[in-house]
Amino acid sequence: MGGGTAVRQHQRRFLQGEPEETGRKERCEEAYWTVKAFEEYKVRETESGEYELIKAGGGVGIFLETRVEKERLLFPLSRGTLLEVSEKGVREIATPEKAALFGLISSDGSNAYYRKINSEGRHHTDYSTRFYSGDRELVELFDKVSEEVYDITPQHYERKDGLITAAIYSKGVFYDLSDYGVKIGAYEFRVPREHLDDEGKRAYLKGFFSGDGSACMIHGKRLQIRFYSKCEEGLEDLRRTLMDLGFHPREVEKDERTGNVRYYFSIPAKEYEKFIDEIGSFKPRHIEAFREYRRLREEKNERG
Amino acid sequence: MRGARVWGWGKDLELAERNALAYMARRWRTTMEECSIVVDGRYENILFEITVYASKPKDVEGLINSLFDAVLAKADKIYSVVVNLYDHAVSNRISYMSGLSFVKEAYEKRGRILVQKFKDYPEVKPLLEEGKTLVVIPITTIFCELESERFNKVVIRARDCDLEPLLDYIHFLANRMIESKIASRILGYDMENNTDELTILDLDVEGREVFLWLDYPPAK
Repeated sequence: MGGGTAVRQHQRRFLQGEPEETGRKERCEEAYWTVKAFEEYKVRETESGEYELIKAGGGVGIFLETRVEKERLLFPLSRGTLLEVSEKGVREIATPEKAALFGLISSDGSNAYYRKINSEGRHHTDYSTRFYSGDRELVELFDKVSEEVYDITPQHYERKDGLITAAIYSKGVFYDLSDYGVKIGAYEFRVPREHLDDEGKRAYLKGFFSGDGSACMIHGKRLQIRFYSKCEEGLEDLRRTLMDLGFHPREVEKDERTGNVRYYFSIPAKEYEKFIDEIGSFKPRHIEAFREYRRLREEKNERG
Repeated sequence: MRGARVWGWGKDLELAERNALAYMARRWRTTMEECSIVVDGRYENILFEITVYASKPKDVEGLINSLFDAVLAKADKIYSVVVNLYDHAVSNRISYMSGLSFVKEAYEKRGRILVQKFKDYPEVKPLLEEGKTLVVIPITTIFCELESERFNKVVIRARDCDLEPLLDYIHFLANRMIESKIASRILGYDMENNTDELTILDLDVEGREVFLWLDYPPAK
């Protein structure tokens, strides 16, 4: 209320000189304590238990909770996203649940819109995000992570041959996934590596592998682990993501006959244990193959 | 020949049949003599392709839905459906008529040739000199030709590196084709002989055995 500076208002109202120090500013200083500081970023906890992110003295945002780790701070945002603050700066990353959802959609799902003309001749757009699988366990996982990330329960359609379609009809979900470039065409996908930390990368790979991976025992005794896709660029992204995690995947192979091209790459045998421990799969058949592989190894070790 | 991919995984399954018929109605010429529907997919690490040849587009009405029903009972994914239109009948030039025992013998023989080919490779030889045994695991492509009363020919092509599961899966697909009246019986088989093209994909030593994974050279 009133114009001019606080000093002039005080002088005018109370015919006094400069107001006495209220102590407010001092109390403000005391009301914060610094949780962590990285270069130009600083995070302070307020008396009310909130966390304030400050960049070069200016406020970026206030958060209700934070997770303090050795080299970074994580603030939960909406829709399965976290704000990561570290020495490298600030970025939005996907939670492991959202990263697994990305992987599932990139392999066996779709994210698309369809423009239609209704009976009144007006254009109408349908948005749908779908996941297709014959494995009930994978469909249940898709439901679970969709509920966790978007608070939406997918609708199901089941064919007599056992293929289940789990579908989300939401413009918001479509655009959120599109922003990450998760599924950009019928076969095209990219791994949003810049929005995945190591845990997110592992979750993405596990989700993708559950759909478009194979884990089989060859000749009943040798495990083979492969990633498949029609999208060569996407497979290269997957290889790079595996390399980020210390794997050494084989180069991309091509199967091409009668105009159909399919690509795949393998995990080298010496990294199977690492793959099973760090990535693994949600698919029951894969889990069974991993178990068989370990059982045979143990048997062999016992025999010396 | 002209062709188009009319459906891909992620689209409504019902669209495949509709798109295929629409494409053929638009592109078919009276001078054309044959068309084919190719469905390709994957089950575990087996990549497969089913090609059905017909004399005219009208013959393939209802085929794609039957193929989906037959295949999806045991497939991780159907990647795509492709329609091809030919100026000349091509199916009579395709012939896979060998017996199953011939294919099994050819597989064994190829294995022996590959052991001879790779035993002197620098990454393999020192291991064999330690007294280890070389086991080759080559990528293998098997073809299976089926006779059909409704269509000119049905061909299944499948690829994996383990012969027995590969043949089991081909027989599963063939039986499903026969049950759904797409085909009537198996006519024969063949195996792609690719000893010259194969290169080492991975080498894996366990106990007294050296496992050599063989595949085509990388895509690039």
